[in-house]
Amino acid sequence: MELVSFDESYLTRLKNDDPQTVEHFVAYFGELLLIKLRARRLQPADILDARQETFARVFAALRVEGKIRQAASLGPYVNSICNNVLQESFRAGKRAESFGDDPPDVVDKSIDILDDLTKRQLAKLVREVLATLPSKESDILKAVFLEETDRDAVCCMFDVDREYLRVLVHRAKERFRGAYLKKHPEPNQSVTEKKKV
Amino acid sequence: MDHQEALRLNATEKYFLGELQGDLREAFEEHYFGCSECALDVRVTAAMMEAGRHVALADRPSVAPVVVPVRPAQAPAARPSWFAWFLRPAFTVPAMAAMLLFIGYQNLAQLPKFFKAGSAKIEYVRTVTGDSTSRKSGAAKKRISIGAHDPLYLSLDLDPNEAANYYVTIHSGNSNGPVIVSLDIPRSDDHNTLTIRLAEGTLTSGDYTVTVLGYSGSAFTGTGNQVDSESFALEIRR
Repeated sequence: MELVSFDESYLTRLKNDDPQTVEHFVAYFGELLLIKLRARRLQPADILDARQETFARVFAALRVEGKIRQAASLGPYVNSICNNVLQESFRAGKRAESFGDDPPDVVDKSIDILDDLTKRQLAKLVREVLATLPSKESDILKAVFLEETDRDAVCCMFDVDREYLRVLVHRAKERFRGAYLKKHPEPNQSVTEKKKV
Repeated sequence: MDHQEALRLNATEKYFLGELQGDLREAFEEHYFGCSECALDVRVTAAMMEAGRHVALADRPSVAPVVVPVRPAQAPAARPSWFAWFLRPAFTVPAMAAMLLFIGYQNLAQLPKFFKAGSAKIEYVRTVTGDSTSRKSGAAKKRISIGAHDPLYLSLDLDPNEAANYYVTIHSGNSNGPVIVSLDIPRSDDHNTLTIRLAEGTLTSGDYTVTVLGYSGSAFTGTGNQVDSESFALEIRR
């Protein structure tokens, strides 16, 4: 995985529907949108709808001259569109109507961030990280990984505080990051200007 | 929110631990959508959490609820009707569910250890949804709402000096109601915090009362000194 910078040429290619650029854009921001939407504990169908609607509106805006002027504002614009979609959806209490002229036909098949194969491979990395930790810390992290486990309950059961949880997650993340960055490839690496991590 | 503030706040960790809410969460999201470094950090953490969940679920059988044999309560001579509730078929399932009580003590993977007995004031009752507010016993009944597939955690602070052993019961309704769950806690020198995890399906929606009796001797004979009692209303969300 590499850092991605969106420059003006990227924005131009995106506006011109360059297939590689569009595919990269959808993959990159699709992942961020999924993370954002999952943080709101939405139903999977609602997550997919919101993500699709967000992309539809963003691509519609890209076709409007002057609507998105700077590449640097691309990310925050995607985020703000998603916020609008969510607000409209909550107000209406139903899925938003889709609109927009001929959005690019890029089908996002997965709601998980990781496909099953990648998940299994990364689970192995997680185990390697956990194996380097004391058993108590390993068990605490496993409890944290289970999203349905209340964090306060985890603190209570292990007699730790929230700060301790944050430190544990941070340390595990840093250890995992090194191994993950080597093994998780970035899609369409030639599309954008990149900086090696 | 700028990059330095995101770093200062440990925003990524807080985000995934659910500690960023409202404006702060939105500010961090707006930031990482535009900041490649924070976006990378968020993506790595998300991947770790998702893969970690896979690991935790795979390892779950090793930390599954441990069957804790509950000493059969001997019917106290003065309260035959209380013991009779155990014999009713309607409580066979809850009684079996009581066998699945899991005593959480520091490490989920450890076998349950007996706890150091003490003043068993029920300081707080928590739920896995985070809908938890502590309150002292004696206040108005607490309302707890959990999902249909969530376990219920009950935490008891045990002060070592109040009794030799404890017998914890969960009654349907008030403290005179039928016993749904019971747990015998012999003396221990290990720890003075007991967390009881009730697996999903152990309790249904309704009112309950947790009572803690202190007793001495080698076995609970059905009587003891009531140390504390707390009521709560449980809602199982479908």
